[in-house]
Amino acid sequence: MNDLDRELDAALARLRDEALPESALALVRAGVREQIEGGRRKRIWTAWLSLAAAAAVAWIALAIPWTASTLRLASPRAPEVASIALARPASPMTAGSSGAVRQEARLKPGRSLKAAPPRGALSRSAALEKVRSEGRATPPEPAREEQTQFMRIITDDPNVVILWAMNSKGETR
Amino acid sequence: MALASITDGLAWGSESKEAALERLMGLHERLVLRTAWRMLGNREDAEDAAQEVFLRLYRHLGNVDEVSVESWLYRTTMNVCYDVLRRRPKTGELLVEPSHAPDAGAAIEEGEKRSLLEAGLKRLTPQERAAVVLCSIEGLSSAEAALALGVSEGTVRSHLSLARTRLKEYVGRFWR
Repeated sequence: MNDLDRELDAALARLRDEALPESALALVRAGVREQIEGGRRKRIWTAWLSLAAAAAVAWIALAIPWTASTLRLASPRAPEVASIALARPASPMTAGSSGAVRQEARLKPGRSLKAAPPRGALSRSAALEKVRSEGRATPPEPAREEQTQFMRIITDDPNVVILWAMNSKGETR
Repeated sequence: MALASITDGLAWGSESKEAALERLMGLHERLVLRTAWRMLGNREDAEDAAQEVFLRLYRHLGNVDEVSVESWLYRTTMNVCYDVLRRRPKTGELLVEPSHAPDAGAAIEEGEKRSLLEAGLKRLTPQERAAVVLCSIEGLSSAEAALALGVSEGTVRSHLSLARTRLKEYVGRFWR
């Protein structure tokens, strides 16, 4: 080891013994304390916000089912079966039978969609046979009574009276 | 120099984290600030780095082994300094010759020697500077420095040898 090496080692060792300014140390301490305190405040706020969010979620979770049940009680839903049955067009072959089925569905408003027999479960001939037999057993509901209004028009001739009949469909005679 | 035994009074399980941190800062703040200052070359960056080191100590207080706090602080200080150096824009500042460099051959004062040495340290790579700071300034062994830097002893010795050669080349022009 030559002189330069020794001199370098001595200079480096002196760097270690150099006093650090107290102001720098104080700044470090103050900065650390401030950041820790700030972090603690932030954690407290975060905890409060989390608590408030959890309370809001819980309130919503309770309020939604209650509101839904209240609304359900206030307005009972109309039976869906009748409308669905009307929406299905009837083929000409089974027009009479499907009409009978529709009538049956209309007569049982409490019947749900799930309870309806699956589509295509019976063959066409079997279905026709079944409907015919049911039709025999339980006669279809009589057609709605057609209301016909008569208008009597009296002319000058006492022997001539005009009767103008108009049914509910608007057909006149 | 072996790592100082610091087991006395470090049982922070019985005291609050804040109190433990205050005591550890009192014990080790000079070590951390000095190391960061030598690594980064200026006071402001060194203060910021030292703050970051103690904040990390606060966060990991429960995980730091009582016996190896000093080693942990060296390692964390080096990591923080590396981060700062990585973020620092490359302005070429480290390669500027000192404006007050004396003429070669003239007798120089102790203060001038120190300034030249600091300028020489700034010209080293971060790894070489870390090896010099830990081994030649802080007095750690190669093994302790390797532990702090997370590299092998051989790497530390290699960096140290290279750094000393470059430092001697630089300061030798003025010191003789």
